[in-house]
Formats: sequence, structure tokens, C-alpha cells
Amino acid sequence: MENTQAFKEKRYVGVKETLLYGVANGGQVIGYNLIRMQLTFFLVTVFGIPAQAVTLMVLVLGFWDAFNDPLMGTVVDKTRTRYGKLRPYLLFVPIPLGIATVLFFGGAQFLSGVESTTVKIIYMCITYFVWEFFYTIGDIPFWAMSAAISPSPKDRSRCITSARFISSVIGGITGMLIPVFIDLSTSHKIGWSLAQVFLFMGILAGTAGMLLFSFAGIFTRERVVQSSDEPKVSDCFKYLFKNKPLQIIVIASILGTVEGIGDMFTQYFYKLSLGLASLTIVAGIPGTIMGFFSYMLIPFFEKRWSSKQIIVRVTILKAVITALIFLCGIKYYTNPKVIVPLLAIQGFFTSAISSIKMVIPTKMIGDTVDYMEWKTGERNEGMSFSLLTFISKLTGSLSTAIATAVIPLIGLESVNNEMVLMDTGVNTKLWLWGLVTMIPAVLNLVSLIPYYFYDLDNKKLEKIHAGIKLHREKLSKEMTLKHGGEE
Amino acid sequence: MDNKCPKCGEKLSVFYIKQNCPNCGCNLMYYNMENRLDKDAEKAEKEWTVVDSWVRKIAVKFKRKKSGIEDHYNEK
Repeated sequence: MENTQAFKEKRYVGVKETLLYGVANGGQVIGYNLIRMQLTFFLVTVFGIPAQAVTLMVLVLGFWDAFNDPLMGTVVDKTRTRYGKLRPYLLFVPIPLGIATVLFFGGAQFLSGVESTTVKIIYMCITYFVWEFFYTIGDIPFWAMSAAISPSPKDRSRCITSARFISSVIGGITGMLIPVFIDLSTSHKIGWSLAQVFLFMGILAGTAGMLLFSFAGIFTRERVVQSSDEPKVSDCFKYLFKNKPLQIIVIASILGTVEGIGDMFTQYFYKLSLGLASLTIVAGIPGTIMGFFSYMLIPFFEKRWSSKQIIVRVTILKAVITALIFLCGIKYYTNPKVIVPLLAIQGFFTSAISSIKMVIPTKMIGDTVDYMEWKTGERNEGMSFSLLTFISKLTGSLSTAIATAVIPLIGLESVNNEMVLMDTGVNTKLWLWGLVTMIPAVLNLVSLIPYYFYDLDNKKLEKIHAGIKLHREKLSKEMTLKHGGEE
Repeated sequence: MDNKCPKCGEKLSVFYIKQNCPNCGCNLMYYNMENRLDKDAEKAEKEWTVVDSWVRKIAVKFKRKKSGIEDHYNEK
């Protein structure tokens, strides 16, 4: 008990390190957001590659990720160096990842004189594959670091919150900059072609972004004692199958895929039901502000509830709020004067919930790593956090696929790259209202079923942390005494 | 991390990444880990104390302001 008490009170990660870990994530997301937001536009419109080739490449790489991510996780878990098992990657990856980012986004400019589509497709596939490879080998150790940066769960929580908060600020700024530069280029207000704009963005993400990302390797430290022996590859996979709480988080995340479909219909709703797409900016203001502030609420919730309780409560709360908003607007869903304020209120609450859900599941994966250490004596941050990376890619693709399948069912059709209403007898506008409000959040309640079996509550975690503290102390003493060190 | 062995003081290149010292063989990452953790905790505590005192000051000011507003309305 004494151990538990001492463990609870100590903070190992200082203010500077916590902030710099967050800044590093901010640097990392500049390139990631560029790829996530502009991939199709850049490759099809700017680079001149056929859309089918882009779709095929993204699909093939999606399947490749299913093998690549756990493989990278295993490589990380097998690494043993004097810098730790994660930091070497964080120190080294920013350089090749920066070069890969510049090469990928510079493609349209570098090959501006090339007519052959085949050459462009080959260039695209190679540079995108290389970018994806280095991004993964940087992303897994980065998030795994959140579990290894300190033996204290509160320190970890602060680091994850710092990373999510700072990356949302930096990511938000770059997200706004990209369309501005594109507009300035297309309206000839700057003398740059779109290819030059993307080259500039690539250089920005590859240099400034990667410089910030390198802070994760330079200014952080691993403070959790690991066994000095490398685990076997088969052991890494075996631990994964033994880790029941982690499996529950994975299943819940996959079931929660439906939550993401609403985003795809938002622009259609504003354009087709309210008649003005830019109203989304007005309705989004309270949510954007609240999204930032809600990170400060996380310690407040963590004091009162376990991670599982937080997830269950915010998921139910979101379903209730969005259902109420749906009912309030059910007669006025084409009237902007009623709907915009309603969506602003909804955004205020759902943004807060989204921020909380950005932090808590990541922290829970760290808890499952502790659980496995308690159970087997081995920590498998690499393998566990590779699933976090994989899930985010998988759920992103799945929600896009589901939303695409829903489009014709609710009476929408794409004509000349423009979404239009079809005359099929379906009340498309009402469906759109449901899809931007309660349907995704209510369907997401299914994701709570696996959590019924999740038993890592605060009491059990306290027991686990006290147990592994003793194990780590023993391991550390053994390693010191082995070489005639002081006791 | 220092570029020297925590036990024998052997100088190490930045690019030397093996976990054991080439001279004495000690584990460079975990040798005297508990002591290093205590030092980290001390340093972190100092940094957070500054932040905590700021937060406390802001909270006190906020409370005063709030009670000031309440007093103002009570007087009315």
C-alpha cells in the first residue's frame, strides 16, 4: 500500500518535456494532415494521375498496413539500445520522413515536363509507399512513448493531452492554410502554380514539421524498466492474443466506425438542405473553441471516474444530446435560422466529447501494456500501439466505405462530381438531418457492448501498478548489481 | 542521456547504441535506474510547483472576482 501511495504522488515528467512531446506531435501532423486532406486532389488534379490508379494504390496500401503495422510494432518491441527501445526511431525517423514528404509533394513539380502517366504512377506509388513506411515507423514509437515516458499514469495522461491539444492547434492552422494557398494560386494572386504550392507545403512539412517532430526523440526519455532480453517475434504476437483488455478496445473501436460517417454527410446537408455550404463555418465556431478547452476537463473527469466510465458516459451523453437536437429540428431541418444554432449547440458538446475520446482510449492502451507487464513480465508497447495506428486507418477507410454505400440508399447521386438529390420518394433531407445529428451517435452505442467485459478499473489498475513497481525495482536492482553496482 | 557510462565513466559515441557498456558491460539504460528516476522526479516536481502556484493564484483571483460580483448583487 505504501508503494501505491508513493507511486501515486510522484511526477517524473516535467512541464518542458510534457509540452515538447506535444509540440513534436504538432510537427508530425503537418505532413499527415496534408496527406489526409489533399491526397486525392493533389494526385488527380495537380499531378494528373487517373483517379482509378489513386483509388487502387490507397486500397493496396490499406491492405499492406494490416501486415505492416503489427510488423513495425514487433520491430520496435525487439529493439534494445542504450537510448531505450522507442527513442532511436524518434531520433532517426524525422530525417527520412522529411525527405519522403518533400519527394512526394514535389512530384508534380519535379516531373512537370514528363508526359507519361505510367512514370507518374510509378513515382507516386514509390514515394507514397516510402512515406507511409517511415510515417508508421515514427508514429508507433511516438504513441508507445506515451506509455513508457513515465511509470505514473497521471504523467502519461498529461503527455497524451498535451500531444492531442497542441497537434489539434497546429493541425488546425495548417488545415486552414492549405485551401488559402490553393485559392491564392488558382486566382493568380501569387505567381505559383498548384504544383509549386504543393512543393512548398511539402518542404514546410518536411523541414519545419520534422524539426518539431524530432523533439520527441531529443527531449523525452523512457522511464519504464524493460527486460534486457529481446522477445521473439512469435512472443510479440502471443502477447497480443493474451491481452484481453486490448482486444476489447480494438473491437469497440471497430464497432465505433459508424460514428465517423456523419462527417461525410455534413457538407451535403449544408449544401442541399440549407443551401449554403459556408454556414458550416458559423455553426462550427463554438465547437472549435470548446474542443480546445475541453482538454482541460480531462483531469477533472479522471479524478472522479475510471477510463471505462468516462468512455461509457460520454458516448451515452453524445447519443442523448444528438437525439435531442434531432428532435428539436425535426420540423425545421431546412430552415438555417433554426438549424445553424442547433448545430452550433450540438458542436459545442460533441467537440468536447471528441477531445476527451482522443485522449482516454490512448491512455487505456497504455494501461493494457501495464496489464501485460503485470501478467507476463514483458511490455509490448510497440505491438499494442501499432494497433492504435492501424485502427485509425481502418476505421477511417471503413467509415468512408459505409458512407459511400449509404449515399444511393438515401436518394443522393453524384453527377459530374457534384452531389444531387434524386427523385426516389425517399425524404433525403430528413435522412441527412438524421445523419448529421443522432444516427451515428446512436449507432455508436453498440461500441459500448465490448466494454462490459473490460475490467481494468481504477482499483485493479492500482493493484497492477503496485505490482509492476516492485517488479521494475527488482529488475533495475538486478541489472545494477549484475555489474557490481551500488545497492 | 550522458555520453558516458554511468558506472565506469567510459566515453561513448553518440552513435554507439548498444545497451551495454563496451568497457564494463553494464546496462547503460537501466544501471542505477531508480536513482535516476528519483532525480527526474525531483526536477519535474520543481517545474510543476511553479505551474501549480500559477494555477492557485489564478483560482484565488477567479474566486475573489466571483465573490465580488455576488457581493455586488447582494448589496443591490
